[in-house]
Amino acid sequence: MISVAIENKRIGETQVLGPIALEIAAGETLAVVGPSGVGKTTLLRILAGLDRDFTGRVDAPARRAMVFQEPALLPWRSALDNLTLVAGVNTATARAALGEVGLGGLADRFPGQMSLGQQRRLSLARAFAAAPEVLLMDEPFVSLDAALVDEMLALTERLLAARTIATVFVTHSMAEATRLATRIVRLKGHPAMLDPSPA
Amino acid sequence: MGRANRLSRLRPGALSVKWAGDRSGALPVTAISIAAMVAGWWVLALLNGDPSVLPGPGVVLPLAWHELTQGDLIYHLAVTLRRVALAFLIAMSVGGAIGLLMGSSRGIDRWLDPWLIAFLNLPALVTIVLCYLWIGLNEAAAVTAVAINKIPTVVITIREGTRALDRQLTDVATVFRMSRRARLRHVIAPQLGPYIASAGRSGISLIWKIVLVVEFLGRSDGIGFKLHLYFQLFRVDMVLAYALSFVIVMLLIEALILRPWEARATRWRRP
Repeated sequence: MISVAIENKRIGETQVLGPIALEIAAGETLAVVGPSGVGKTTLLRILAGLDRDFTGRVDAPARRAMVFQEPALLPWRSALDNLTLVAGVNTATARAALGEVGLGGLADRFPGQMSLGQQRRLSLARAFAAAPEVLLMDEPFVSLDAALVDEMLALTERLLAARTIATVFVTHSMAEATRLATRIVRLKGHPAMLDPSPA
Repeated sequence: MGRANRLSRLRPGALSVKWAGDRSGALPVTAISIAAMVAGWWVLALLNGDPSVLPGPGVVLPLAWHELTQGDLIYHLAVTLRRVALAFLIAMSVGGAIGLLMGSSRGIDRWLDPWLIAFLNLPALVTIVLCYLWIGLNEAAAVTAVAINKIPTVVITIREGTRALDRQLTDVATVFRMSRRARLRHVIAPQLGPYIASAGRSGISLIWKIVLVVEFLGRSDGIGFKLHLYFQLFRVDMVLAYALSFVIVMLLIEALILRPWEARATRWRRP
């Protein structure tokens, strides 16, 4: 599904990513772990097509969705509009997606009128509503309290189980990785390379 | 929601005159304040005692009413408003486009910045005189002169807004492959909304003042032309009648069109 062959990635003069080769199959959830600042987000941005300034090749379907570290919602549009306008789905699909994350009653709320947990769920609903073939998640549970992380993990597990998506999930938490992922790789070193031995 | 906080700190209304209260409780205060201003004018006129130097509201208001119902106030008002509207549209669209370009490209910004500073510091009178000399004593020159005066400040505001666009939302639009149109309408325009509203409100208040000067110097109709005429005839009462009517119309436009629009553009920020 996704085939990655990065030779190198520089930011200014510094090489941040070394040679990286990855294959991710449909239905597989790959967790990329590693200390903060090692280049996990840089790798994910390359996979998302947001960063094209690298040497190498990424083959991935165009139907991609991403969950960002922050909810990254349109604050001037209602919850429902955030799904229809951004994910490009019809109202019925958007309502179903809201229901799936437990936001069925909040379709007309603006993001600013929702709690942080609700905003995170809306961000998750947006990604899944887009019916992606590839899902990229960049530390989606960072800065949440333990109870909320647990709730979000359970929700994500449920959503993933009902679909066949190639998922790449970046986190610094081994606990999150083992719970959600079918395969774990570690990013380490300068420039960062993959260490295939988990943990 | 750091983004929303950053936006709300740049108060769109900060540049222009505040004359109607934000809260409903401020409305009586506004009314009393206006009444006090009229009363002060009336007292001054009484103390002065010479209606040919300072006519009171009792002279000017009936005169304005007479010009409105039987004179040609409506005609000149319409001519002036047309010039205001044209200059406003040109300044907002040209200035907005240049501001977007300069805000999104460092290279273009570096090239155009000296021009911007030059035009920003060009006195309004110089632009007006040069436009009349080069284009001729006509409508095109009048509107162009006003627009040129306003474009630089629109550019600066919109450039600021473009630089402050949320990168993460741009990323969201890219990953979810939003169309160019949808991106402009739902991601970029709402972020620029407060900046456009700010440029528009300060723009209209600058433009209608410059339009009068332009008319004063080289047109044969419009409020500015009438002011010129009655200035030469030393008719203070007529000068006040025309000036006051126009001020009232512009304040109404601001209160009934621009303010509600600005409130709508920032509705999502309210909890």
